Amino acid sequence: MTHRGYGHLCVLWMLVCSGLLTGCETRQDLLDRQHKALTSLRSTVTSVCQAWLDANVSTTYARTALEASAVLLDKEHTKISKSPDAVADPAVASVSDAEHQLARQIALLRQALAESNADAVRQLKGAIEAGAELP
Amino acid sequence: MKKIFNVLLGVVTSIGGFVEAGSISTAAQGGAEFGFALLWAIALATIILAMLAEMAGRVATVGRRSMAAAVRERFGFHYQMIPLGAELMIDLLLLAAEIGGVAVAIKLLTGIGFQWWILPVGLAVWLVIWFGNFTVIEDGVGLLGMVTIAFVVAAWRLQPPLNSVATGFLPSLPNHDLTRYAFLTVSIVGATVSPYLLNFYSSGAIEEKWTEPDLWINRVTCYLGMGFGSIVSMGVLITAAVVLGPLHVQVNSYEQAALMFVPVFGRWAVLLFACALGVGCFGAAIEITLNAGYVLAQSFGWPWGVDKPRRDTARFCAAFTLVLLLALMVGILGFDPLQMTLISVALTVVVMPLMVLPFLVLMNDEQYVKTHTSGAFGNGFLAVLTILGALMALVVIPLEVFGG
Repeated sequence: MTHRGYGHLCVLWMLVCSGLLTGCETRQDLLDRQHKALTSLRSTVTSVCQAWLDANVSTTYARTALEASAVLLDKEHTKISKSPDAVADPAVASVSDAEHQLARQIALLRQALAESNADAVRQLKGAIEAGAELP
Repeated sequence: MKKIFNVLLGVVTSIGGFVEAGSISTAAQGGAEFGFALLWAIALATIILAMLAEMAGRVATVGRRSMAAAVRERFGFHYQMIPLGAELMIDLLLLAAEIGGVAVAIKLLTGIGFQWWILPVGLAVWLVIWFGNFTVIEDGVGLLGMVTIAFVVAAWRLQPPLNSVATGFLPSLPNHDLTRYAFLTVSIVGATVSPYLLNFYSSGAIEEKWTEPDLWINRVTCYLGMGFGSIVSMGVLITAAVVLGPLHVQVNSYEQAALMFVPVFGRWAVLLFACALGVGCFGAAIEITLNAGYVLAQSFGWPWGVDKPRRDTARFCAAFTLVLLLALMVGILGFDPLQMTLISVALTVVVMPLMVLPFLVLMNDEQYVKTHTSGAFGNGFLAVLTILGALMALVVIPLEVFGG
């Protein structure tokens, strides 16, 4: 095969991959991923809070970890927002609402950590755990 | 006696130098999402790395040429441009990811954004290379890297069920997320069998002036050092599996990964994790920076060597400085270091056949290895690895799309 032939093969392969990248994720795939990401982030947030309440981690780390969780949550939410059709689906909309709620709770937790308010952290952690199961 | 001490030091520093951003992130993700099921991938990748490194070391020890120089000489300058370009691209991304890893480690302790630490870390890397010699760089960084043994201690203290751990060494298919499992398998191989490691190792053999009677040192360092080093990676996977798995925490940031130490080390957890991540990534950053200088100098026939006076190796020094500066620019742009690690690991897999194929020829050429040519087993291994590498290279991009 000539160099040009190899070049054409590479371009074809890149096109196939681009096609896969843009078009093949189903609504169910999106939903599954969002469920997993949300469960993971809820669990991360409550674990960080518990470790902080047990004085196992510093306030600096706890705030950094919550900030990172908020960034990851925002990225996940952007994936839903990019697909307006998906938001019309009640199941996806429900996940989207849950993400909004967790984002608000993380913001409140960061504030509570800044004030070293253990009671508020405990209360918010309990609220996140109570909503751990998605509808 | 001195030689045996040096060999033991080599083995110990191999353990300390084994773990870096790629191995920590892929092993932690694998453990958190699939329990012990991916232990076999780490074991397989380690065998591949040890065998390839031993061969690269053999070419350097017997033929007195690094891998890049040998490939250039045997296949010609035009062919060498392909692996050179691929390796430099991966080195650049990996270097940015490793420097990002150190910066995130400092962020975990200080709370100050990781981008602020990129330039100071880059400067520290450059200063160590500029003022250090090869022994200081290799042994110093390797000994500091012993802090990564914290992962093995954590895994030990968590007392994982031994039956399940043993089962993890048998390749198996998961009952969920097959694509993700396949992606993580390929990523673990890509994170372990980095091209920079092979050329850095063969260049190191020349820097340390190994000769034919030292071939046993080469074998012991590769098989024992890398074998023990992989135990640290397995420690990451087991700790993540026991701590993060039941919590359903997926590791998408280093902040999440740090949680795996909390049940074991309590108040020391974050400090220990940050030290292990920081030191591991710092060591890898130094090795990658040096390797970029090595591979460029060897490909273009410039004088090279970290032990030589800088004025005698001006182009080598300019080359590693330039690559470091480019990586710092990539790092400052603010890409997530963990995501960048996963992308560079996937690219490593893409170029793997290009890296492996020359071994098949060089290991059978008496001009390079004299009487120490590969036997049927070595050649069979390389042939299988070339085919396996080509298959992985074909599937890694779709896997990155669906499972990454």
